[in-house]
Amino acid sequence: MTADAYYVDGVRAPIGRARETGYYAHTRADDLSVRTIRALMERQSTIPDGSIDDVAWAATAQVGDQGLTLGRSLAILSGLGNQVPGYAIDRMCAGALTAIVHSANAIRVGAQDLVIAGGVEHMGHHPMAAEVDPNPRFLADQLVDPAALVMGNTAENLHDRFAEIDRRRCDEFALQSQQRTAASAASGYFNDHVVPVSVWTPDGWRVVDTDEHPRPGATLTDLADLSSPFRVAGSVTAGNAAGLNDGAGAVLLASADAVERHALRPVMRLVDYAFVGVEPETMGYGPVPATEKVLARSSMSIDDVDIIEMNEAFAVQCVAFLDHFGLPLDSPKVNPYGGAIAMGHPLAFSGARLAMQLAAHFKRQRQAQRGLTTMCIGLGMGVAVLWERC
Amino acid sequence: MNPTEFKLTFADRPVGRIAIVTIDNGEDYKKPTTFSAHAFASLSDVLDRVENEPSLAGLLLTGKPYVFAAGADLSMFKGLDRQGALAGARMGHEAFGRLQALTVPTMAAINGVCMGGGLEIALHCDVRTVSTGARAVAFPEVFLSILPGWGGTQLAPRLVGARNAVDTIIINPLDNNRTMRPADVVERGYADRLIDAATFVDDSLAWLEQIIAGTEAVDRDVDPSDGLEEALAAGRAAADARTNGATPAPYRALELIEFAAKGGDLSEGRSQEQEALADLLSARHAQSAVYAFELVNQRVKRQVGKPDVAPREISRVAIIGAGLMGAQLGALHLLRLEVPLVMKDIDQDVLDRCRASIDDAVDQRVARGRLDAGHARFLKSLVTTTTTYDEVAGADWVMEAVLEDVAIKQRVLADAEQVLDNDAVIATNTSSLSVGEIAAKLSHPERVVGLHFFNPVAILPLVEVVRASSTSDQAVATAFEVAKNLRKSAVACADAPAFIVNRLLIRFNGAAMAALGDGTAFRDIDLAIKRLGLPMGPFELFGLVGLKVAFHTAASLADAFPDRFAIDENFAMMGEVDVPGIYDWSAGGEVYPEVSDLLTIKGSAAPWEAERIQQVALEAVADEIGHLLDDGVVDDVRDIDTAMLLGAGWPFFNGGICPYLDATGISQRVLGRSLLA
Repeated sequence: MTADAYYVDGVRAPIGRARETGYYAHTRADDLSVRTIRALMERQSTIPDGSIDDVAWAATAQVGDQGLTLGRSLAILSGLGNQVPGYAIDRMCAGALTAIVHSANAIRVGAQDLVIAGGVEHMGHHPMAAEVDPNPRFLADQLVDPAALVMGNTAENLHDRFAEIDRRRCDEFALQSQQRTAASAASGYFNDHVVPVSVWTPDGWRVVDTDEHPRPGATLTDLADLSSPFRVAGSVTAGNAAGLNDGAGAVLLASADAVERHALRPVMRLVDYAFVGVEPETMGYGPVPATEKVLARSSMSIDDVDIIEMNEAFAVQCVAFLDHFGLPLDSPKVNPYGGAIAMGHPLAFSGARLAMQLAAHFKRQRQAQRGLTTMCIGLGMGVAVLWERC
Repeated sequence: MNPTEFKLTFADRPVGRIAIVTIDNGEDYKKPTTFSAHAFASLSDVLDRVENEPSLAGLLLTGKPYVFAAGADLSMFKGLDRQGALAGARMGHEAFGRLQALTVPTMAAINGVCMGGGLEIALHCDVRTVSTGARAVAFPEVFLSILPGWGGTQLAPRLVGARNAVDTIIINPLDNNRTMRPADVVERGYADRLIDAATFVDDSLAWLEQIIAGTEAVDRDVDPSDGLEEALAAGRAAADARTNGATPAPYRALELIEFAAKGGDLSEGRSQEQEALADLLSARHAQSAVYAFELVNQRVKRQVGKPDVAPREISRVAIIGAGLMGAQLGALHLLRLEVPLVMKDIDQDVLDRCRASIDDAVDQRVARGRLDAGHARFLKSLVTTTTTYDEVAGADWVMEAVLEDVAIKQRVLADAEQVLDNDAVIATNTSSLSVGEIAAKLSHPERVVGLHFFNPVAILPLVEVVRASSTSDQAVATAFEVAKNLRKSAVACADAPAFIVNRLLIRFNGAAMAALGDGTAFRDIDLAIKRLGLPMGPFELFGLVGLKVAFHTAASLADAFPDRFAIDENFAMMGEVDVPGIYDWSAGGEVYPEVSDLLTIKGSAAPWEAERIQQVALEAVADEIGHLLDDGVVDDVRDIDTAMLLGAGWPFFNGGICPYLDATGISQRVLGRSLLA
């Protein structure tokens, strides 16, 4: 007895670079989130005040300006009404995607009708792992290899595991990500879901309306010149990995009832999903078994999927996925609009971006029927979510 | 503090290049941005760049978080001569005029506090938005005896009409410097749209883009002359009622509004406004007001005179004496300190009335939406009434408010001391007795401090903290701390008869009594005094404090200083008669026959002219200030002005009183010196 859960709309802020001169160095993570929620609600103006059933908000570092039970904080700060509850959620890189599927589940069991799900990560204010204290047993009891706790090392481990994935293929994939992102930006593709944000800085207010991270002029030679910070003679570089970034975004999920009641225009329906665990030392492999699992549950093959929005934590992880499914490096159905290597990867937020780009694809390409959003997740996990157009 | 600057960024949006201009001083919201010469120089630079930007499509002007702009930097005003004031006025007109002359759509996004010159620069933009978080938007200039001098008097009537202009430029500042809430700002027409604070700049910018694109427009339909005569009459009435013509500022502002509302030429209006500002800003009224503003908004908040020792922490309060004063003090302590409160009296009926009065004070706050009903129940549960000292035990802070009788006060405090910790602090709320004498018979006289409140306690902001020679630093520090937590302004003084405010008021009233004895009418005397700008005349004041209290305080001063405070037969009579004041307000303000029938008028004398009443009163005050300083009652002459501003409501434009006495040469004549350096 499950009902359908629909993705109606999504809005994100331009992604900034996590550094002192970055877009959001002086902007609070919660304020950035509020901007996206309010822009989303403004677009969905048929929804009466106070009708949102829940706000599920992801962040990996749930302290400081990402603390205080973000979902509930944001409901208040965004003016959604005191009667709107909310909660915070964490599954590292898959935070927002987890918020989305669990919000969809609440709709699927009929408990809720309208849910805002999303995520934020201000990696400038919260450098990766700066505020965590890993249990010493991980290493003392040899539960994981020391490399498992440093994501770049897990990517190097993938190179070790798949000898056929060399540095050059990864750099080529990274270059393609830059080129596809630049082409999408030039065609106005991101206008579907990116809203301008006015940010306070010591130089006065400024307006940011495009992603800060992409390097559209990058060349293979530039990429080849970069060295690996993770190991001597390594293959993982700043050029073929996602960046350290600040970003936030919100999506609206609705039941069939809510769609009808508020005359909403849903874009896609959540079909199924799978989370899996893999070896923490090669966490980047996670999307492969997650995708296999969700396809198997639906008795489908990769050929039944028209588009795959995959988070590009590392090029090597994407190439491993392509190789596994027998897809070429330049497959038009994987990240056709570019990805995190160019756009950036504000950890817990990124899953929301994948859903937004998939939705934008469905809006543009009427023949596309099914799509996947998939990511690798720290400590050895993967997720794949299967969507179908409305 | 960093100087305020105008900062420029550009946003290249689909509708074109938009200049984003931010008013900022690099400080947090507690230090608002203000306009100084430095700010104008940076605005000029920004305008140079904006005017030379070929692809400019629009301009958005806003402030740093929580503050749009707080107007002119008051420190610029100090000692400014007419020429300097005129230059300052022209500087603003020129810079703001350039902003107004831009040919692209301009928007002021009023994101926060917006006062005076801040509102004027906003009026020079084509459209305005205001944030739901903008806590105060106002023209406070007339409050400081100046007027909006950077275009405000000329632009406001055109944009919002005469009635709104008079309300906000004249009436609000004279009404305790009232400010507009965001919804009022839109309703009156000062802003075109109210926008939620959460994404205020984003949404303002989005609207500006729509205006640039031509999909949105602002349509104003204002007839500046509509209701002009009524508005001017209301403005004049407010000025007369509040200042009695003692400061020229509101009247000059009315003239300028009238000129603009009748369709006067804008550039002619601008130069008239500059001349008016130059006249006013260099005159004594504005200079005194700036001095007073600093005393009341800055100096007194530093609690000058508070000893640098830890105050006693207060988690239980006892008030002894539950009469009218005790009940008011009880309500104040309960509402502000929110700790257990014991009301002690010898009379159960008095306690019952006190309890009802405190409950009523709490309920009134609930009725006005200032207090949650559940929290009100909690507060009431903190109150106990008692006729024994048992429950006074454990109090950290004891306020004594029994009859003004030294022997009674001594006995009450001795009884209280039996049950108190050795370092519990006792404050006596006497208006005329010696704090040292009240404390003298205690085992621990050092714990006793005077804390003199003014009636009505809930409204008047001053307390005099009286330090006897026996009083400890901790008792004084605790009194200051309690005063702060009660949200009162504290001025320290020595243990001298009637302290500061009452001593000066009663000395001042000597002239009124003398004039009365010579056959001058009560009303004529009050009017003469009010023409100095004082909120009420001496005989009107008697009605507020009560004839018996006034007489009692005067008598204590007559005992202490018989040569200066002699009580004549008329004052003695007023202490005897059983009426609440001089004027019977239930009978149209006629003098009570009980008083008028018993007046003694010297047969030979003639009624005094107003000027003579004023002169004698002011000379007496100057002389008494000399005594207060010579006797060391205050450490700093500014404490006297602070006390008169906050305790007697003496006007800002006289600076309390000392700047007035200096500027008019009275202090030189009476004391041979100026009071302020």
